[in-house]
Amino acid sequence: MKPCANQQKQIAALALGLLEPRPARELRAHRDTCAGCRGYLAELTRVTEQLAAAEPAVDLPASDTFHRQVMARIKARPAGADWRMFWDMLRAVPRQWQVALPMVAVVLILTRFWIEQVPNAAFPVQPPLRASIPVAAVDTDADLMPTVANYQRVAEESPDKLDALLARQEPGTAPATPIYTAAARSLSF
Amino acid sequence: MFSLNPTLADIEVPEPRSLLEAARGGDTRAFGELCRVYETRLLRHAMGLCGNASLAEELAQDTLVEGWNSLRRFNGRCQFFTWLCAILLNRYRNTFREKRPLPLAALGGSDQAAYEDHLGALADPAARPDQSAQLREQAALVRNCLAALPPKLEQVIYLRFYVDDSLEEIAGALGCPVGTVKSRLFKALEKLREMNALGAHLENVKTKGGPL
Repeated sequence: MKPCANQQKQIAALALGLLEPRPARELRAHRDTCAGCRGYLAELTRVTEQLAAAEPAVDLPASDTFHRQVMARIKARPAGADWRMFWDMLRAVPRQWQVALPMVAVVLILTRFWIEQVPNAAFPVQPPLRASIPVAAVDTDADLMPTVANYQRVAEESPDKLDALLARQEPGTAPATPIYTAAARSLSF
Repeated sequence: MFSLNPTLADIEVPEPRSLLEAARGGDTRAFGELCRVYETRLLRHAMGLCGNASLAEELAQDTLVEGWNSLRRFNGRCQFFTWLCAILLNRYRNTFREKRPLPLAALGGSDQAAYEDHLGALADPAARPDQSAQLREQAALVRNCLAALPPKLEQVIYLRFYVDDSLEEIAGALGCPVGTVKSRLFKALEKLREMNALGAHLENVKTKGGPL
């Protein structure tokens, strides 16, 4: 018979001697009425008894030679021991790849985030180039050539001025001078 | 320190805690004193794992040297000996286990005698010879089952049953929460129960010749 699913952990805790007195009493009361839990507890108790019986029992007295050898190894610790430890840790990584791979992924993501978010003191962010170039004041009263650059400059100064400029350059009020005269001349055969 | 008995002042051994602090500061002499406090107990555990005196000494030495090298990582959340035992078991698992599969007959004279004594000591002295043999077999079976567990499960069972420490101490030695230790203990116990049940079933089949 199977034990009650909701009692399995409690039964394991009881077998390990980890259960508090009150829940232990309650569980024993349940065990008396449930054959599945009774059998399960008996099996786990047998395992814990066998484990306890297999405790190492041979004394191997530590000799002076043993102690001297330990001390000699400690004192003769080479200068590169730290590097060797680091290397040992690295060598242990493949055995724990289930842990190592997610950790590497997290480190990469954090590094990318850090590079994007934290201003780098060694390479300070330059202010936009546009801000460093003095922009000439736009004389919207004068007739400007109808180019995108001119419209942009006027718009940056004030949207109202752009409206006024566009109104002045309506087809009827457009300047009489031809646009791109040089280019037009070169293209006409 | 002033003492009414001057000889006591001469032989007084500093407390392990103060030795530990000194050793963490790089004092090799203090660490040597610590080794003297723990090395016999450590050798006993190493012998229990290796079943061979020379391998056990090598394992215990490696453990103490590794303990010295990693002393800065000792967080003080457990007894120093518990921490050493965790290192011992890891070291045994990673380096020494492949050296273990020696048949008993292949051990040297003193090693063989010591190991037989060890197995004999597991049995009740009042038990009949056939009972003692059965207990020895059971102990060997338990060790084989432990070796078959995943390392983390083996660690918690080993520390709980043989180093005899509280869950908090085990958690401190392994650097994990108490809840994790509990959960690993439950899993380990369940796995051992399954192995035990399987072993009993196979034994039954062997003796009665029934179906597998």
